[in-house]
Amino acid sequence: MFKLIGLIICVASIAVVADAQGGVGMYLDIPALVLLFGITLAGMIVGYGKQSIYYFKLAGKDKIPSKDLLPALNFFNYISRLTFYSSICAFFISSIVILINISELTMLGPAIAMTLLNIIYGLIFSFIIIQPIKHSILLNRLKADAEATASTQGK
Amino acid sequence: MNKLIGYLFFILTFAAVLMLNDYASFLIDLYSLLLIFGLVFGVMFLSYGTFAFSAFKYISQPVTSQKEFFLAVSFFDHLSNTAIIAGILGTLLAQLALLSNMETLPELFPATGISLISFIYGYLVSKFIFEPLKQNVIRNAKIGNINGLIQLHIDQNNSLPNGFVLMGFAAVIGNFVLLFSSFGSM
Repeated sequence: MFKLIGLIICVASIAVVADAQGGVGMYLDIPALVLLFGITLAGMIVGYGKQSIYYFKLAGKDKIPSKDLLPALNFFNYISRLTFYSSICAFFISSIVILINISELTMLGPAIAMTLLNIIYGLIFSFIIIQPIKHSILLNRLKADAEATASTQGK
Repeated sequence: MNKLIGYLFFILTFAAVLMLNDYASFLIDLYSLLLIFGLVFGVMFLSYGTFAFSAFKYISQPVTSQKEFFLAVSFFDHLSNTAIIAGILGTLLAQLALLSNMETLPELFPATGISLISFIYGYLVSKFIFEPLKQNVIRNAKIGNINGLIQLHIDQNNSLPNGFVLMGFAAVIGNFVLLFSSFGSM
C-alpha cells in the first residue's frame, strides 16, 4: 500500500511540475522511449539472459534466498547503468540527427530540447523504477534475516 | 541536541544570505521544492514501504550488525542520491521547457537561472540533510570491521548518480555553447 502511495507521489510531483512548465505533452517522445527501452532490454538479455526474469520475480517475493541477494543487487545496478548508457546513446543519436537536418537557426532551441528528453527518461526509469526495486529486494532479504534471528533467539 | 543546533545553523546561514542580499524573491521556487520533496519521499516509500519510518531510528541508535549497517547506509545513500537526481531532473524539465519556447537570446539567461534552482535545492537536501544523517549512522556503528563486498556495493550505488549528474550537466552546458554560438552568428 505504501509503495503504491510512493509511486503516486512520484508520478504526481513530476506531472505537476511538467504541467506547470507548459504541459505534459511537451515531454512525450516515443522514439526516445523506444531507444531507451530497446537498448536497456537488449543489454539485459545479453548480460543476464533468462536469469533476468528470475531476478525480476525475486522483487515480488517476501523471502529471498541469501545467495541471491548480492547477484540481484548487481543485476539491478547493471540495469541502472544500462539506462545511463542508453540515455547517452540516445542523446548523441538525436543530437546527430538534429544537427545534420537543421536548416534554420531559430529552430535549434526546440530541437535541442528534444535531445534532453532522452536523459530525462533515463533518470526517471533508473531512479523511480529500477532503484526502488533493488532497495526493496535488499529490505526483504534483511527483514527475513531479522525474523530468522528473532525466531532462533525465541527458541 | 547537536543535530538541532547544526540544522539551526544551516537554516540561519541561508536565511541571512537570502535576507541580506534580497535573493529571496528569485531563490524560492515552490515547484522545485515540490519536485524534490515529492520525489524523495515518493521514492522512499516506493523502496522501503513502512520500514522508511523505522529506518530513521538508526540516526540515534547504533547499528550492531553488518546487515543493519548495509541497510541503514544504503537507505540514507539512496535518499541522498534521489535528492540530487530529482534536482537534475527539475533542471532538465525546466531547460526543456525554456528551450522549446525560447525565441530571443536575452530570454535565455533568467530562464536558465530559474532552471538551476531545483538543482541547488536537490544538492542542499542531499548534502546538508541526508549526508549528515548517514555520517551519524557510520559514526555510531558498533561493528568490528566492514565487509569488503558490502563496502563495494555501497560505493557502486554512489558512482551511478555521479555519472548521471555529470551527464546532465554536460548536456546542459553543451546545449548552451551550441545555442550561444548559433545566436552569435545570426
